[in-house]
Amino acid sequence: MDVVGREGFRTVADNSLANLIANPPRVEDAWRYGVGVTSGTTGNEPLVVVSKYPLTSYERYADVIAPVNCLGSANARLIYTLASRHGMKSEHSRALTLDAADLNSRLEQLLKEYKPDSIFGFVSFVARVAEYVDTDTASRVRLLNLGGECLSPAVEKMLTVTFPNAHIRMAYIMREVGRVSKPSCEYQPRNHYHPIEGVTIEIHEPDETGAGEILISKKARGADIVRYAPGDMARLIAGPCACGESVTFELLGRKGNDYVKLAGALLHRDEFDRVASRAALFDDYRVEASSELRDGHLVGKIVMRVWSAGEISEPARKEIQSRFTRELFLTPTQTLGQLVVQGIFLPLEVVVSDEPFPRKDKEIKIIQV
Amino acid sequence: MAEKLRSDSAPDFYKNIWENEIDFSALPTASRVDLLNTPLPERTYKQSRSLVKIVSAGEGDSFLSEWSYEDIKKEPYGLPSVRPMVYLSDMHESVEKSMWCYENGTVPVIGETHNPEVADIMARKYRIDSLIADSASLTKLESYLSSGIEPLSSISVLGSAFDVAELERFALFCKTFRLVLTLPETGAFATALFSKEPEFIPLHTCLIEKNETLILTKITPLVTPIIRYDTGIPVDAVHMRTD
Repeated sequence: MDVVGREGFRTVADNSLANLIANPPRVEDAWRYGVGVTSGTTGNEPLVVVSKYPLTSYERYADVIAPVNCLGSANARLIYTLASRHGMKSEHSRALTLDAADLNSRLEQLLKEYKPDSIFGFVSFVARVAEYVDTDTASRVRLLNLGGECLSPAVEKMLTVTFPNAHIRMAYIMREVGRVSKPSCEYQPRNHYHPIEGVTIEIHEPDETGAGEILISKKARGADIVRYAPGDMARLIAGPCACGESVTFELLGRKGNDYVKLAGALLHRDEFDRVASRAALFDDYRVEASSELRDGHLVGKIVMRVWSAGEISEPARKEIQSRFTRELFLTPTQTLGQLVVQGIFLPLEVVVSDEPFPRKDKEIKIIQV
Repeated sequence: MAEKLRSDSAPDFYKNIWENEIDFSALPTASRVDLLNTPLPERTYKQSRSLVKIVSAGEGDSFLSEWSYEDIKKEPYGLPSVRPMVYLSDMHESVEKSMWCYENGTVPVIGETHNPEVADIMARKYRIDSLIADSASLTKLESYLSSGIEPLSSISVLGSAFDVAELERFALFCKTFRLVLTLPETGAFATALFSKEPEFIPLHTCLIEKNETLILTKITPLVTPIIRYDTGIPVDAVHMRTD
C-alpha cells in the first residue's frame, strides 16, 4: 500500500475542510473544532486542516488551574487556549498563553503575579521560558506537559533543576491527525511512546537499526488516514512494556531532509547543504545538535563531522569551521556566528572523520543528541 | 458598582486610587500606570474561568489583564458570521478575539500577521465571511480582499485610533464596515459604521466622559472593573455621540 506524505494528505485535509464549510458545527459544538495550518516546514504550501477534538484531547488540562501555554504559532496558541478553557475542571481556572515576543525582562515579574501551576507547550519554547521563572514561581509548577520535539537529556536536566516539583509528561500529537500516543509511560525512557487505541504504527523501510520513517494509520477527522508519513523518524521497540502495553515506538527526530529545532533556532539540512556546496571542502557530513547548560543558561551546541575521499588538512578543517560559522543561517536573519556572539550557541566544532558515514538512521544528516 | 468596590472584602486597587472621595464624578481616574504598578492579584475582583493576557504598554513595560470568558463573549468585537477570521497584530489580542468567536459559537481562523502569505491561504481556503482586524493587519490582507472574492459580510477594525483616509478603500470589500473603539485592558466601548467622519456610539454598558481624554466606565463587573478609566484617547481624536 502507498505511503501518504504531506502532499498526499492534502486531499484528506481539503475534503474535511469542504465538509466543515458545507456543514458548520452547531453553535454549542463549535469549541470542538479548529481550523489551522500545518507548519509548512516541508517547503510546500501549508495544509489548512480541520481538527475535531474529542473531549479526551482536552483532558490533559483536567487537574490544573493556572497553566502557561508556550507555542510557536498563532494556531497552536489558540488551540491550547481553547483546550485549557474547556479541559480545566475548576470554575476558577485561568490560562496564559505566551508569544516569543513576551520573552523579555518583564516576564519574570508577570509570571510571579500569575503563579502558574503548570506549563504546556513545545520543548524548546518551554526551555526558553524557564529562564524567566524565579525560584519561588518555579517551585509552584507541578506539571510540564511537553510535545512538538524530542526531549534531549540536557534540556530535561535543565527543566528538572528549574522546576524541582514538576512531573514531566509528554505525548506524540500532531495537527494533521491529532493524538497519536498516550502520555509518556513511567516504564519507558524519554521519547518512547505507546500508541493510543485505534492507531497503528509502522516503520517504512527500516534500516539495520530499525530506524525509518514513521507511518501512522488512524481513523480521524472523519476519514481513514492510512500510512500517513508526517516526516518523523522512529523505530519500534521489541517486546511488551512492563505497563502491559504491547507496542512501543521511539521517536528519533525529523526526517533527514528536514530540520532539528535547537535553542530557538532551526538547523535545516538544506541550509547545511547550501553552505557545504559553496565551500566544496568535503564530500559528506553529519551534524550532532545538542544543548548544554552554561552558567545556568541553555546553549546550543553543534558538532559537525566531515569526511572526504581525499585528505582534509588542519587548515581545511579550520576553513570549514570558519565558513559555516560565517555563512550558516540558523534563523531567517542570523548566522551561527552571530548567535555564538550572543551566547545562544557554542562555537562550532568540526571533526574530521576517518571513514565514510554508514547508512545508519538513514537519511538523517542532522540529529539531536 | 463603585460602592461594591469600596467594601471591606474588595481588593484595595480602587480604594487606594479613590481614597475618601465618594462623589462619582469626582473620583480620581485610574490609568495604565495604576495597572502597571499593581500586580494582578491585587486588582482581581472576581474568580471565574478566564483568560490572562499580557498587555504591552510601550517602552518595554507590560502588565497582565484577566478576562472571564463570560465577559469576553459579551464584547461586540465582531458581527455574527459563520467563518470569521481574526487577524490582529498583537498575539494576545488575536487569541482573545478568536476565543470571542468560539464563545459565540463560531469556529474562527487565526492569522499570523508576520506571514501574510499563509494568512491569505487560510482566508481563501476557509472562505472566510467576516474579518476582525486592526488597521495595520488589514493592509497586509489587502491582496486577498481585492482579489475578486465575494464581499465579506463584515469587517470590524479594532483600535484606539483610526486613519479614515487609509481605511476607506476597504469599505469596498464588505457589506458592513465598522470601527470598534477598544483597548486591550478595557475591551470595546464604542462602535461606528465607517464613514469619512465616523460617529462613535458608546456601548449601552459604557459611560464615556469627555475631559481632555475619554474617561471610560463600564457597568459590567469585570475581573478588573473599569471605573473612570483614563483611556488616553484625546477627546478630539474621535467623534463621540453624546446623547
